[in-house]
Amino acid sequence: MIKVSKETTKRLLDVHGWSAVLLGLALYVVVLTGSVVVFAPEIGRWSVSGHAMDGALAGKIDAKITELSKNVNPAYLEDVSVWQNSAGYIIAFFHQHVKSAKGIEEKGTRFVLDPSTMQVVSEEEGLHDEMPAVKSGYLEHFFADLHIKLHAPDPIGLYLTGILGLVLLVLAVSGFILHRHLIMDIFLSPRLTTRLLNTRDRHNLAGTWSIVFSFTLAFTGAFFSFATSLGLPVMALTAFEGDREKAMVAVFGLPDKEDTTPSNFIGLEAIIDRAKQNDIGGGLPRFIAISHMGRADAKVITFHNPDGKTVFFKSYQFDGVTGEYLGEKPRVGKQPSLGNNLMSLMAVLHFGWFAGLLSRIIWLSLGLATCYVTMTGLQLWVQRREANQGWQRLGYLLSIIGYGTPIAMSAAAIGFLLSYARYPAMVESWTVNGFFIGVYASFVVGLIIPSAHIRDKAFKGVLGLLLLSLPFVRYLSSEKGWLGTLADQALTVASLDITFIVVGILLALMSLGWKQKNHFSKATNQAIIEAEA
Amino acid sequence: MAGPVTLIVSVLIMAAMSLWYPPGSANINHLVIPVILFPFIWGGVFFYVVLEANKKRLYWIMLLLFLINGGFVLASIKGWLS
Repeated sequence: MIKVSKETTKRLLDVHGWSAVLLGLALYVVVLTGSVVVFAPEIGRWSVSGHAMDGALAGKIDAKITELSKNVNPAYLEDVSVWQNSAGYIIAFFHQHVKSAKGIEEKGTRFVLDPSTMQVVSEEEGLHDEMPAVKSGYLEHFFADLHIKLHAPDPIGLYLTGILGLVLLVLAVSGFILHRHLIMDIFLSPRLTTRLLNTRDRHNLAGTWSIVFSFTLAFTGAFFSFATSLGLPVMALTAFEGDREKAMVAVFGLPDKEDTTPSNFIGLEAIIDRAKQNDIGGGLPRFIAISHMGRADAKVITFHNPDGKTVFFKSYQFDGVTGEYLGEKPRVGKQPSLGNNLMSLMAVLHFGWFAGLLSRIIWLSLGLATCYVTMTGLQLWVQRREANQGWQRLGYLLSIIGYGTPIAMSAAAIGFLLSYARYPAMVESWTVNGFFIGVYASFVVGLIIPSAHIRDKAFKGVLGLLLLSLPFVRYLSSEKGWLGTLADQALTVASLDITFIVVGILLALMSLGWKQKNHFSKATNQAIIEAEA
Repeated sequence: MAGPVTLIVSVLIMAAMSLWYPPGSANINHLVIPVILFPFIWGGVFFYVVLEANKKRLYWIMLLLFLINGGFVLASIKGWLS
């Protein structure tokens, strides 16, 4: 597409290939989990077989929140977060901000409430980072953490995924410059003459379709990983002489004037009713933050997902004593700014929530296309070096990671389903163990089958069977069939069940040889490479 | 050069940007926009390092970027700019 010298092309090709070889498999894991996490709320709802209390925040919650506020340490009224998780449970986290060796941390009491009875399901006290995960949302939390930080401790995990974002940026830019026929390749039909040419055409085809998305994802993903782990500390050091707290206040804008006079809190029901009106949020908030509850300077911020009116995530501020609407609250700073708009755009572009379900389906599809580009690129690398035994071992890893990641994620889901209904205290360990059983099983299958063709068929079979088993394990463990979940208006459960069954059947058929005829000629890859040279 | 040196120079460019970028009416742009642009900054420096054929020029430009941006950052940390 862009004309560059032969020397530059060679260097870009080296950068493109070696970046992928060194970090492509880790990148594949992050992009695949990210594609799945686009549907995290649906996965959360499916994992607990749905719930009947959609929009429970709009119900009668004031009496319970007031009752809980009287039973916690008064210092924890500094900040109260209230939200409904994907499984339907209402979570109220009364907390304060305390300084520790790690920086500023949230310490308080977290209640999980049943949305229909408002009874306390669980109560935890301590530092937020040390609290056990909320059981009902653990599966989506597990997948999201895998995507955000590969389950590595902070900030190492964020640095790792940030570096992978930069690697994707390098791959997308170098791929764009190297791509000779970017427009024509949109309609490329992969050649069936040899396996090498076929792989290259598939790599170019998928790469053409996903190049803009890859670039967007890389840029926004690297921003999210580095913003708090690197950007903010560096800014604090430079602009605020190392005072991170001061930097946080400048960026996120804490209330500037304190008034500790005791004052009755107006309650969330009135504020939610106001926030739902069309001149403000136009819908139910997904998250509510109350600051200084019970004081004259109490404020409430409601956070809203993108809807028909706007593509941005929005937040609105209310007086906590009078309930008066105080205006839109920017994500950063105290008034609208270019920085705030760009930051909002980062979230819109990374999460793909700007046009509802349609944009999320597109984001999932393009995410999977990016995974496909990564894998076919690595296959191309291996196929071009078919005489080198060392590189052929990479072929084993490609199959193991390529199929092993979704296999391990499916096994984690089975671990969650089996434990959630009967042994909820073991949800975390069973989910993690399920994941690792999937990883070990993938390595065993991948290493004991020497033939790449048979290995891929075996992996497709295992993954297909696991996906097929998910709806049945969910049904057997929860005893909630489709009629029961549909009666609860939990369409997500049946939709995901059907998706797993369809994809599982397709993979099972492919493992049995369907659509797998070998059309390739006997010409060796070396002959093609030499002819091209 | 394309690894740690590129990263250090990119971080210094981002940090120094907070000292000259206009803060805007919300007094926030100079802190947020450099962080948002960091992947672009790193990408620009990385591709320059990889594609520059003249090694001598590469070392000089990287050294200049390091010294100029690092100097501003050091001056700010020491409080010499206030």
